[in-house]
Amino acid sequence: MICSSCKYAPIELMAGFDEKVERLDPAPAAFTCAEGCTHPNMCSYAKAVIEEVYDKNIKELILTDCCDAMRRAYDAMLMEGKIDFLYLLPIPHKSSPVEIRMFAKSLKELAETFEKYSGRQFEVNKSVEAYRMQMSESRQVEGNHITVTGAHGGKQLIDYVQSVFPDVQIKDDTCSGNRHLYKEPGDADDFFNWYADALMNQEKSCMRMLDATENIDSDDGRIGTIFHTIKFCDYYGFEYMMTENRDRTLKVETDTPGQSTGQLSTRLEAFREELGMEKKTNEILNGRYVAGIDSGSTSTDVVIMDSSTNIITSVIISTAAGSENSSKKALDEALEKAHLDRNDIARIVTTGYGRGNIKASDEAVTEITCHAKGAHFLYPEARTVIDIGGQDSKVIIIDSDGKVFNFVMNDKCAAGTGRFLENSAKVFGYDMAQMSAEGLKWKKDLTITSMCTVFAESEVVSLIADNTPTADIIHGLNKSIAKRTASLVMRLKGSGPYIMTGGVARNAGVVKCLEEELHDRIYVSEDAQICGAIGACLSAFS
Amino acid sequence: MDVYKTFSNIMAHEIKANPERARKLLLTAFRGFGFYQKHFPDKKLPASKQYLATVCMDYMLHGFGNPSQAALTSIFMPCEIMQAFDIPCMCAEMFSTYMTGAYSERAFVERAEQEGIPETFCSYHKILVGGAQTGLLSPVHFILNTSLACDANNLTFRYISQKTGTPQFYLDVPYERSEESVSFVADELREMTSFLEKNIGRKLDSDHLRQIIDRSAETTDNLRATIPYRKNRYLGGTLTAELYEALMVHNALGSKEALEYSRRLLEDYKKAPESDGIKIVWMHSNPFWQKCAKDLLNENQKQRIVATELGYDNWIEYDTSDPYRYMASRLVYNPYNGPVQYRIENTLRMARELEADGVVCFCHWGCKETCGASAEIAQTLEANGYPTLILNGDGVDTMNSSEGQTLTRMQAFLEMLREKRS
Repeated sequence: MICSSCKYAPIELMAGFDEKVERLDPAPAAFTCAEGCTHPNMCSYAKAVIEEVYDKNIKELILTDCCDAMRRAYDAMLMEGKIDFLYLLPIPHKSSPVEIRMFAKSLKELAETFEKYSGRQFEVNKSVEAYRMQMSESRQVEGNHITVTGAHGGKQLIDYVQSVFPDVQIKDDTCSGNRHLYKEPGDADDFFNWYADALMNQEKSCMRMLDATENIDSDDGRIGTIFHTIKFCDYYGFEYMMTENRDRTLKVETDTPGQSTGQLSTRLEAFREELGMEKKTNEILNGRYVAGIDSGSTSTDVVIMDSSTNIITSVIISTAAGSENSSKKALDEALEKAHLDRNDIARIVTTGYGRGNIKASDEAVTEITCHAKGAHFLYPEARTVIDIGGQDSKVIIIDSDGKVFNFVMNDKCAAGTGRFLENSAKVFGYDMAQMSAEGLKWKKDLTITSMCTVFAESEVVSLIADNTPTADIIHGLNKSIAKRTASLVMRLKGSGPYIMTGGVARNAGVVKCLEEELHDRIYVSEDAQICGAIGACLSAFS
Repeated sequence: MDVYKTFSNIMAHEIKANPERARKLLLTAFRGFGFYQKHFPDKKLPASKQYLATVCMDYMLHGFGNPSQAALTSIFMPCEIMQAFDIPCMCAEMFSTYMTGAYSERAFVERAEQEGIPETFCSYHKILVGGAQTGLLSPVHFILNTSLACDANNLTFRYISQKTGTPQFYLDVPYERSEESVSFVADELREMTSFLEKNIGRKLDSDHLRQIIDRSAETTDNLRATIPYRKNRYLGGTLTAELYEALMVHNALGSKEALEYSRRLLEDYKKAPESDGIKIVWMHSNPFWQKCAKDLLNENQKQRIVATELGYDNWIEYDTSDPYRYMASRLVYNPYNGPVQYRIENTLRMARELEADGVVCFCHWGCKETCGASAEIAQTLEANGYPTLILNGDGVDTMNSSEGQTLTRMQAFLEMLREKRS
């Protein structure tokens, strides 16, 4: 069996050798092998292909020169010399007649090379038959569906989306999932010419092609679109940028889906909620109170509300003991503080990174929805919510009812998050309160040039060695976070009134820098840190 | 007061507030700096490289200062045809490098990322896109680009063309090295000539093109003739000068200035003193802005760059009898086209001819072409006796690299090369 990685792979041509071409669907847990023979800053899909090929001991592989990363993957595997038949099929970028002729020649050369390798004769009638078969295969999705488009996601991404949207069909329109050759076949004698034309001009072209079409689905039955991009893949990030119709579209970026499940889950569930597909509950509020638990990476926050949405009590503790233990401890403390017991709580809604791992939870709701609800509760005028937590930062655009209109989260990089400040605080030996106070005492406007947390830390160490005043360095760090966050706001074209939530909202230096970046005031509530838990309580009523 | 930082802050503000004013400010700064370079050149540099700095600034000003007449190109696009039409050219890499040189690149990076460009995209192209998005890069007359040597060329130019409505001509370079590929590209170049004739409204003067092509060939002949001298003579140089030279052998190839530079360079090398300093062959672009890299390699007799891949990729001799096939051959047989083995072979040849002590493979942020091949490059070069440093960094985004990490790696590599000699 021959494997391939691209929809331009000549599956029907290889049928002329009775060979089945299987599209690789890699989802490795790590890139140990691939990063060793290439580089960490390579497209994750290309790295995943290398991992899969070596892991499964694949011996016959046809790649295409579809992108820089795949060409380099080919070079690396060629050098390793572990594959019996490794072929890189050149593909033009345009579909003019002369380029189709050149492509036909390349296909013929592939057939000749495989004949020599296998000792088998190419039988054109079998290829024509295979072509007719693929034409007859139905690929239409009828009825309501979610379209997944963009870069390769494979079965794992599709299954993931299906698990969040079990009630609708999923249409796979990613670069590896939408192969359909629709042109009528010609004579067998002229196979290479018409097949080259059909392969180049298939129904959905790849972004690599100069005359690529917009890949957003038509509106027939489409509930929403998930636009998938992969780190260090140039093409699909660009396609997203060039796509004007982003209605009901969620962009998710992964290192291949298998390695990004935490954030993926949050985004998909929040998207479902954004599309108005919230889980419905028929349970009746039996008790007088509800509890919201925000299980974050740094702290676990609990809020208890009565049926009139009055906050009865709140508790914030560290998540160091794990999400389940910390949640239990925080809830117990909150109940004790409010002189209540567990039976007084009719419903518990959890949110935050640990939301799915808490046994007491009646329902888990994403922090996107909860922060939106919480922010609306704290400051009903707010239209843009900026939340900087320990693990990530996010910007949520909300409407006048506190419903999510759009949102964006920073990606895996810790730059612009609470973790970035915590790491920096450790260098000074400060706690976060000291960081907040010192950051306002700056004299010289210093810029931390590195946006990367690791680089920035080493830059801070250098500045300390140069006897730069601590306040100036902290101000530089605050500015760095503010710029990063303002960039997220700009990406969504967010506008005031602004509210800031999350732990970093307590840092007056960061808030001031962010106000300067946004040229607007930012409202910070005394309850900024428990905004997520408040939203969770409010979700319990819905 | 830090003049550069002040200028950088003013630019960051102006780019957002009034891009046209920012463009004029930049032009004034470039003209002022060009005047300074011409009348107060860096005396530590030889005459040829003083001249090089001046003509590169003129080249930049010619394109950037006259956008409505200029062509925006990719660096591998042969520009002899445009020279024959007297169309000023400006390549993506040159634009970004000059923006960084003017401490003004950050606003473009931020704008491009705000618009949704992947953070992992090549910084050279990200800055160019940001330039178009902010409006600082005014719409040009044409966009002319090749598919060589990376995916960014397939995206950036198409995007800017669509955004500004600028006519684009795309030159697809086949992956395979063959005379058929050369014929194909030569036809594309002829087609590009017709495209320009139609848009400009006048015919190409083929005699003029012939003269330009002859200058191109003489320029590369002169540069090849410097190889025996580069091996054991010291000629002051800088990382920036290496990038200038890359411009001379790509977009500016065929110009009188490129030819004059090559003549002066050869003369300077003939007069240069002997040197036994450490010799480095440098692959891909370089972090010309980074202090530690400048401290270690600029005008330093103890250690120097003897050749940069983005220059010597074009020092190959080709048949010039047919101008179009000559230009097409430079693309099809360029070591950047096809499998990485060609780049490795070309670098190995250069390292041997120059008796280099080692090779630095600069992995510029977002360049999958180089990053993805770096392990193979290092493995092959080292197996042939050339220690190779894989240096991760950023050629233009000054906020995307660590001074300390670059310094340690480069110093350790130089110490290693010195130890090896002893």
